[in-house]
Amino acid sequence: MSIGSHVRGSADVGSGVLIAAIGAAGLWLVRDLDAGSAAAMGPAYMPTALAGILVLLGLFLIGRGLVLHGPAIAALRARPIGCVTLAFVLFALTIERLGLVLAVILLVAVASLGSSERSWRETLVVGVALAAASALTFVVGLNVPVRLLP
Amino acid sequence: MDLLANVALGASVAITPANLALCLLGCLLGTLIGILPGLGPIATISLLLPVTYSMEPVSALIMLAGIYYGAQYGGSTTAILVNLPGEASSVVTALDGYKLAQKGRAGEALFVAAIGSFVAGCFGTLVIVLGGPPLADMASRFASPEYFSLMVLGLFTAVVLANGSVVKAVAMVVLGLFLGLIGNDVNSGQPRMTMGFPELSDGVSFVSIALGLFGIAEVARNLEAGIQRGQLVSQITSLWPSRETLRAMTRPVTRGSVLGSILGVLPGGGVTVASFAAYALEKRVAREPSRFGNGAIEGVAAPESANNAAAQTSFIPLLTLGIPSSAVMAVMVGAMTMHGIVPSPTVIEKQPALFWGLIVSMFVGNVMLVFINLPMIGMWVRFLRVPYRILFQIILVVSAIGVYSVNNTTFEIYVTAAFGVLGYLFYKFDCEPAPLLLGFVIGPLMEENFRRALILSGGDPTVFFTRPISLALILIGVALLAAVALPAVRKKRDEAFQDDAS
Repeated sequence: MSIGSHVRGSADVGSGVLIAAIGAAGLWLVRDLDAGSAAAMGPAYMPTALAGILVLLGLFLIGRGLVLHGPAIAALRARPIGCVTLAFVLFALTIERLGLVLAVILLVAVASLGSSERSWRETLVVGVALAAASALTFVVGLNVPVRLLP
Repeated sequence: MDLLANVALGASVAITPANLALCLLGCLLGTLIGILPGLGPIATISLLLPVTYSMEPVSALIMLAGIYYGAQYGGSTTAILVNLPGEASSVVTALDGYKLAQKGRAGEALFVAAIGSFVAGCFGTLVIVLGGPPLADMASRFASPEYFSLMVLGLFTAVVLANGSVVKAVAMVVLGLFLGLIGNDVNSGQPRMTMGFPELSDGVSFVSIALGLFGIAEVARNLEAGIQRGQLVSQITSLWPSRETLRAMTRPVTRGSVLGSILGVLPGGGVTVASFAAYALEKRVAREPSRFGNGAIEGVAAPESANNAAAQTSFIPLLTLGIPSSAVMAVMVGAMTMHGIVPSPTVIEKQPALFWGLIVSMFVGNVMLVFINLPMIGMWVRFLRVPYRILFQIILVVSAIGVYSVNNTTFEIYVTAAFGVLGYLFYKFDCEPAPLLLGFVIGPLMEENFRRALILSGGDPTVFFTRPISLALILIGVALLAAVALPAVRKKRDEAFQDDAS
């Protein structure tokens, strides 16, 4: 990644940006709620305080990463995390429409793209086996209310 | 005697066919995930939470606890035979354990690890028996200012004992506290930070956060790095140790048990810190420290004892104060609240069958684990041959369906995926997510006690400093935090973690 080359402590800067962004989002989300006072706290009191601390900590980390040498971000590879996340999202989209069996096979197929060692034959076998096993365990055994097939 | 009556009560709960079976199941599952690298107790217990929904509360806790301490037994097997830590708490065991295995003493190392674990597990449980009730008695007199200060102390300690940057650990705790506040405000009923999702009105589901941060992110990390396949030492000779080995293990096991019991109680301490500390201690007291790393039996005995003792005593803060001390205990809070038990100092008094039943099951479970791990070692070795490319698919499928089944909504699956990405980024940014999970569980508790304390004092924040116990707790916390800021202490802290490269 290119961000690592100019910055002294890119892991600090990265975490700082992430943490400050979450804090800022929190402050924005509670902007319309009543903060109240210390004696009678409103719903926004604690979230505002914590989100404010997050922003400050994030800014501190960004500053530290820019000024001091620190750990660099280890190389990011989008493929494994991307495939795993995509597999989960596709599973969520399909389980209620296509049923458990197809959703599991799809999950396994997409997730296998994130692995460096993969073969289509094995993926298919694993997918079908896991679909059958999970249908038996969760739907038949544990009564999870979900359809099996479209 | 009171104690005997309590133990008898516990035995009547734990020693029923159903609960014995669940204890065994928990221990078997724990051993399995302990042996398999890339699958830890946090993800496994979170995953099984929905499954335990229909069980009796005590049965669910017996099984889930078995998974946790069982994993400490299993972790050593992988460390000794394959030179890979099955669990983070077995990282140091691999240093000398694998060397012993290469020298043809794998059986002895496995024996020492199992027996050390057993002795320490029983010792740790005994510490709960003796220390738990008095501590709960003391804590039941706490009012909200003391509670708030106690939680502050707990979180400070978790920060001090976390690996890596102190500022990042603080940020992770605060982020956890913040995420814990998502959902409807208890007092006003107004939705907070729900972004318009009605699914978030009860807060972010614990299972989604835990599985995202510790399950999904972990899988992505492992796929990226590729789980190494170590050289499996297949020849396991006699499990029976020589007389010298027995003599050599006595003191390390004793020291490991005591040290592990102490570190297990500390917030954020837990099993990994305990094993590292025990290894460091053995190296320091040894006459020839150079033997360590070349197959010293003490290097297996002490850390394996320490992590088991810590696994048991980490239940003390949860069961006596109602406050979880580690990420795994945060998951146990999730389990207890799901079954309608609010963790608090009154659990021992009001639900004696639950507390003592769980305690007796721990003794029973430790006995089972010795048999599961020693005579049946051959069976477990076979699981080590399951390739990760199949294992991760199993983890993902079970996670996806498990998360879905919590509320039967696909919403939870998206939340889990989002926390998976977040967990992956945290890993890349050198942020350890365990304090986040701890903060997440403590967040609502802390807000409630903070509010109540300030209502009582009429908005005067000095209430935390004018009550003696509260003041003492806060001062200890500040002293701890100040101590890690000192360069000398910092160096020691970093050294303690230096081998934790995995």
